[in-house]
Amino acid sequence: MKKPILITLGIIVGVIALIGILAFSIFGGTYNQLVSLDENAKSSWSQVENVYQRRLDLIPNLVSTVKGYAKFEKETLVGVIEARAKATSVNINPDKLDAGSIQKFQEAQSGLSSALSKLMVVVEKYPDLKANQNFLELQSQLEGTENRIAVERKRFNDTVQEYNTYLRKFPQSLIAGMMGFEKKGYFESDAAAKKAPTISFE
Amino acid sequence: MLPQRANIKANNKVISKVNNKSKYSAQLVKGFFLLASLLWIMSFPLLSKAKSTIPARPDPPHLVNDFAQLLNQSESETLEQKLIEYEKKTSTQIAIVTIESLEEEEIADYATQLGHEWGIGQKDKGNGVVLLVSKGDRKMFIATGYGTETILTDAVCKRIIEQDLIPNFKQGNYNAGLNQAFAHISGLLDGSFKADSLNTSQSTKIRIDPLSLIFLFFILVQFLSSIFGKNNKTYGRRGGLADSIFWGSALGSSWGSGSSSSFKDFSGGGGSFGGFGGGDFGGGGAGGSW
Repeated sequence: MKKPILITLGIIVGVIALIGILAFSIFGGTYNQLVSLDENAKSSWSQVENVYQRRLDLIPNLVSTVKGYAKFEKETLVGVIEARAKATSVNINPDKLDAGSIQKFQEAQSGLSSALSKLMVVVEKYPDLKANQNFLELQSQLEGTENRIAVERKRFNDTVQEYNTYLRKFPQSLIAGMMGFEKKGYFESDAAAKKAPTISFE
Repeated sequence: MLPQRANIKANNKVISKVNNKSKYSAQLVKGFFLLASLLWIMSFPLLSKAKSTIPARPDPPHLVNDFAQLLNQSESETLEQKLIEYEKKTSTQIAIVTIESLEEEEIADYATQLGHEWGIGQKDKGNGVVLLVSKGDRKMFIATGYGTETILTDAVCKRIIEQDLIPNFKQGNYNAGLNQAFAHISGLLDGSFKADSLNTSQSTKIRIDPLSLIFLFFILVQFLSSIFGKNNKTYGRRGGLADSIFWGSALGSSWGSGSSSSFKDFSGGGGSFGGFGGGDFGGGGAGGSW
């Protein structure tokens, strides 16, 4: 009668081991999922930064092209240059993409957006400039960059939403709290960047 | 987890009381198998995506998708053959899509999203291009994939639209415009991308997840108990064949379903288009209207 007891014991040990394996795999799976969602959000953030950088890189060329034709629009040009400098100075740590730092980044960039749309309105007064091949190319590059910004911002928001949703659900919320994962911020849709340039009577 | 644990404890108590252990251990093991597979099935993510106005990826896949019927049958087929030939040679996928209406969407967003959702271009190269024409809005857009946007810059796309598409479209020569644009695009991209020799041979990954390991563990338990129970002749025989068939089929089905979830989209052959490669788009390109 010794053998059956041994088998029963074996099964009990097995069951405990099974529960252990399950608990471990759930913890490990959740942690790994958090890490990969976090990395996704970071890599889409770097795409966001790339496309904004692309816009910053276009501006010196744009300014110098416009300068040649529109000598009397110094104020607008200075506005663009200043807004660019401001946008360049804002740096965000990709490990800390919380609502506050995203908002700070977005504010600096939308300042540049509105300065640029003012410039594009002013340009309408200079037919020679509008016919300039160099300017036309810059204009299409700028449009394409605005599209890229919209795309990458949306993708960033999508990855952040996926991350935040996962993070805030139970039981992930416990593990996330333990391991120091924090909620990330979104880009708010800002009216200035989305709207086509409109004429303002200031 | 908690109800399961309680269940286990209850079962264990029952077992220790009962002398006829072979019967109950087999039941316990099978019960566990059911519970574990239930948990496993529940762990699969629900694959649902938000619906949009973007047309579904054509099945069978085509590079010319003339939904607005701007081309006649033979024009469409000739153009498709050109695109397929170019894809075979360079792996670059240029998709031409015409639609009736954008339904209030921005054409740049529409074209980018279409390229993204259909996965035009090869995944590792990003060499996809979408030429989208909306008949109702009289607008067109060339969207460039991540790999093509450095060659087909936004300014270049604008030029193709203004030189090749708009003048022809204004006279209703859709076929001529699209062919010219293709010639222009393919000329610019020539030499940038090469077709991999014997590409699309996907490696199949064998994924072993914890639950498969648990099944293996149970087989081990069965095996050990059959050895321990060797003196007990009736059990040894009962447990042997029937249970190994049971576990064999259980394992077979678990591994089968694990590998069948891999993405398969390369069914075409011969002179037809094999399928989109999973390339992505980041919003590059330019548009115009006629």
